[in-house]
Amino acid sequence: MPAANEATKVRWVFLTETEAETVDAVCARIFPSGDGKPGARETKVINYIDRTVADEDEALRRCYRDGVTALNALTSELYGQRFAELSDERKDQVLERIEANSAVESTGAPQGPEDEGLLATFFALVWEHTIQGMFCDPQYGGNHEALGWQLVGFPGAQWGYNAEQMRPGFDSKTIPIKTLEDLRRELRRADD
Amino acid sequence: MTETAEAIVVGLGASGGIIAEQLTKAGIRVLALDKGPVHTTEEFTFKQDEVKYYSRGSLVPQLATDPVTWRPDEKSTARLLPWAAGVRGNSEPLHLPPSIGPGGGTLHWGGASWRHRDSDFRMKSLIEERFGSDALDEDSTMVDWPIGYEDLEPYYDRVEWELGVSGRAGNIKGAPDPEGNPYESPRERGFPMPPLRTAAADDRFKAACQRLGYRPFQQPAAVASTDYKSLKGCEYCGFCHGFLCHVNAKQSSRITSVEAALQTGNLEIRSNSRAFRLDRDASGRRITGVSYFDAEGNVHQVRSNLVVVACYALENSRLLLASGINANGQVGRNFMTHSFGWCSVVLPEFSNPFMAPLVAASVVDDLNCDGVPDNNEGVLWGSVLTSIPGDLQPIEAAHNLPPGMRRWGQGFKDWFSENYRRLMGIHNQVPSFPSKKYYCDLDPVVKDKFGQPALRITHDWSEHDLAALRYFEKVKRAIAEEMGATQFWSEPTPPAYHLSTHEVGTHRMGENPADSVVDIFGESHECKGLYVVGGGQFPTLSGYNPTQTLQALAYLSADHILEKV
Ligand SMILES: Cc1cc2nc3c(=O)[nH]c(=O)nc-3n(C[C@H](O)[C@H](O)[C@H](O)COP(=O)(O)OP(=O)(O)OC[C@H]3O[C@@H](n4cnc5c(N)ncnc54)[C@H](O)[C@@H]3O)c2cc1C
Ligand code: SF4
Repeated sequence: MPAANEATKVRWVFLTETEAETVDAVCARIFPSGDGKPGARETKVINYIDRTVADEDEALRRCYRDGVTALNALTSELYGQRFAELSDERKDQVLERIEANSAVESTGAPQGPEDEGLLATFFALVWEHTIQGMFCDPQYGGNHEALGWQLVGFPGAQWGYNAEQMRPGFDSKTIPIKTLEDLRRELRRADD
Repeated sequence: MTETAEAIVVGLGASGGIIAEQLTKAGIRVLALDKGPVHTTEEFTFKQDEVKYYSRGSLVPQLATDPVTWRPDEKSTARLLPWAAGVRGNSEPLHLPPSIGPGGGTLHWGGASWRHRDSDFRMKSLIEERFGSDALDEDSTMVDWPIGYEDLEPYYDRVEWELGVSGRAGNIKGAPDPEGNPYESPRERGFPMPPLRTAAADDRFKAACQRLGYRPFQQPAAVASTDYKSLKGCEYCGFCHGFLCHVNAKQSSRITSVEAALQTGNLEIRSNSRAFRLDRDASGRRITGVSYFDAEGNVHQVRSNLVVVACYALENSRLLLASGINANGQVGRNFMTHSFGWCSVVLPEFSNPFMAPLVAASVVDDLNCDGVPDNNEGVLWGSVLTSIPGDLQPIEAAHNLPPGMRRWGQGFKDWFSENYRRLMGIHNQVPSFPSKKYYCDLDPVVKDKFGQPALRITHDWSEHDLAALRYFEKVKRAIAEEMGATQFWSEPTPPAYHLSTHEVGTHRMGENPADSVVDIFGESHECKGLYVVGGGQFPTLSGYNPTQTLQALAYLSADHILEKV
């Protein structure tokens, strides 16, 4: 397992290199890339998660820490590799197996690698944060260059829409996307 | 020396704001305590932020600071609201108590603004007349209202004209208008503003409903369609329900009644001030003031012989119980809420569901209240059916996917990027009936950080709730098919959550002090000078959203208080 070194401290606010590698690999199975359209990697979901974990409370941090450990322990036992090293098919099989147990939720201390409650909670948390990281305002570190919004045709932070834009069938991809920073800039300009 | 106030209003939301305005305008100096913060102009301006307001629920009370517990029945141990608790964070901000701070729930509400129908005030009699005296189950505690529609009509009118509601009347003094609600009870006059522009998918909904023989009309909305008094015309930004309004189009007590009260110079607002006890004289029969914690947790006591508690149906009953004001054991009884039936539809063309407020939409009212047709499914009371063509951002949309579809992977990505722009919703809400089985009390174990006991809710969905949800699911499916939807599905029913934000009934109003908590003016039967107002007063819940009715009741209370002082 690569140890945290000086370089990783610069790169991640909170996550260790292994945590970032593992979580990123999960995110990339939730919103995959490779079809020519942005996925979790292009929108930098892992950035969003790193910052969020740094800001949030200890229960959440522990879920990430223990979840990564449990996931890698599980895949080591099954295949002798860390989650991130598995083929995409294998990754999906592991996630399906975890999801099949998602009825059990747990936030308690890990009960060993086969703690399915912990893994289910962990996967649900990564899912939640992947969605947020894909579609948040870019100020949160995800949705890099508003790629997530472009993907689904959401124009982002707008002051409003007019009657023409509200017609059925209107192609929203023709509306220039705005972020909160754009709105702030517009107001600053108006103040000048 | 203990501080004294002429009057104290606890909670400046929908109802507290109205009472503060009326008292201050009459020259009474009011001290208002609100446990939430004063939201800054900057927060309002830059509220186009789904992570902050949806994912992190930054406007609503968090379980960590404001614990509420729930259990389905007395055999189970109550837990922190399981649908909102946990490390995944606040992924259900809409199923916690409403937003806090001056403005209260009207900061982030959707603004569906309804008068009850005449029949809503006589639900029990009408159900028994029609379905027999044994139609309601043996645990039912249903009663008719002690007042009728005609008593509230002038107050509904005040809500619409003093605060601002847009819409099209369907029945002015008995004269029908086919463009408006054909089922509304007669009103003295129409709305001060025309209806809003509707969001894209509404056309299809309306046309399909007409073909099916329904009589759709536009949702009356507490959202300004044009500039009106302190409101500005809506910009259709779509970050509406669950968000603050950056143009002051949404009718929020913060900009209507609270602002008007501030302008009199007679209102002092203390935000971040959490009432924890209602103080009484030695006999217990007279209010003497309120004790509260400031933001640092210091205890303060203010004396007053006029106290209005307007902290929402849940916290109102918690405060009464924590203060020991419950001699007849009725506080917290008769908990009612809506079971929501959310359905989603995928349309062949772009619907752009992220535009417009939630309420820029049509409604079908043919099956509401006693208008629900005779049926073999045991449905005794109906619901509105609302088109939800707007106000849907991507993160929220990703939380409501077709059942059975894998929520991750290439298939999910393809589906979501193809269909997000084609979504719309159809909604209905079944009023739960009051029952001995469903109530609120103080949790024996869970306390907040100040050591105050949490409210505990005991509630489950009844046979009637389930029957009505099934019934309306079929109706919505037929509408979706008629609309030409390419996909249709329902959120799991019954809902996993038991807070719809339409909680009512917990401090019932009635004429008989033995079986109710307050009188029709909201004054406590047990403790004089104490008014407890809001949806907690409702004897029954309607198929309509509750706020305009509790606003009307607040005007009624204010008039009564002013007659007495
Ligand atoms: C997301 C959402 C959408 C909604 N949409 C609609 C809709 O479309 N139509 C509709 O009719 N209704 C809607 N509602 C419901 C509506 O918000 C409530 O019915 C309404 O706000 C209740 O009014 P109230 O005066 O009883 O309490 P609130 O408006 O909730 O005000 C209570 C106030 O009391 C304060 N408070 C609470 N406890 C204390 C304490 N201990 N000490 C001091 N202050 C305290 C709070 O900070 C708050 O300001 C919605 C609610 C939510 C959450
Ligand atoms: S949709 Fe209209 S009312 Fe709602 S927040 Fe935007 S501008 Fe305000």
